[in-house]
Amino acid sequence: MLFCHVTSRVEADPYQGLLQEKGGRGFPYLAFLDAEGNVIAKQGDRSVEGFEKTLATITDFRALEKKAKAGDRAAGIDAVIAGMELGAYDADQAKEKLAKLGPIPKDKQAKIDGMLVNFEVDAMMAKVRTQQQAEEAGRKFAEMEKEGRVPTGRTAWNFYAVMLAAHEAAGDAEAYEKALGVFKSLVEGQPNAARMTKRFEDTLEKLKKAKG
Amino acid sequence: MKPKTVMAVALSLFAVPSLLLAQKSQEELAKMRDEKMAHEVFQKANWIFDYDKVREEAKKSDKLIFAYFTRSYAG
Repeated sequence: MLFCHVTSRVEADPYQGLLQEKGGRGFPYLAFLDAEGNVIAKQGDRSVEGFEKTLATITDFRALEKKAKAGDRAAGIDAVIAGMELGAYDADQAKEKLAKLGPIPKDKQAKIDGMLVNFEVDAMMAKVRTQQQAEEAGRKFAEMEKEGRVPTGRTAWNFYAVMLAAHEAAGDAEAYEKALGVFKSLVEGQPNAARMTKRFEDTLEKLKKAKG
Repeated sequence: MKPKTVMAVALSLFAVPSLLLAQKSQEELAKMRDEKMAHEVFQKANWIFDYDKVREEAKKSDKLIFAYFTRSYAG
């Protein structure tokens, strides 16, 4: 079913707070809902492949949920992982569900831990509004990297981009160059990769010159 | 550009739309909403704009809802 919600600011229009209620922070916001209106998946990647991947994961998720309800514990764990991938569960919801499922196999736990790192970084990024906050987040991300807690996917792009802000503020050309190397490997092949990295490369040159 | 200058520019960019919004009457906002909903893209498929109705239809047909959230109050 195709549903379009228009935030109009017309006082008489119902459900004007629906965007925020469904986890949206800006426009446009795309999501898949079940018939009750619960968010099943948030759609970030707007390519055809992105939609196909989401729909495939939703199909798996619903099948796993059905098995989990029938008592299949392994399916329950996989359903939570699928739900996290879709954006249907936040970190707290996922932890709550997993706590009820008992011991989790090591390989699944490693995947879950990785996804929780992504959630943690996304939550920190959502609070960044100023350059100072970006630098502060970047310093925390540098600490996380030392601990081996590094996100994946697009979250990793933001992770390293913000880390660069912290290294720039500290005038640390060496750390900046190292983080930039990782960032470039992550965005390689992306449509705007060259544009994204050019600015950072220019900054690296300035940092190196300042170092002397 | 110094951080303070960046913040000043960013805040003014956010403030201006808010000020413009404050000047729009309910009638103008309703007209903007209607224009948005009449957009050509929504004529190409069976889009439902009523949240209650789409949930009812989804229950009857056992289908998921694809939700597109947009706004009409700004240009």
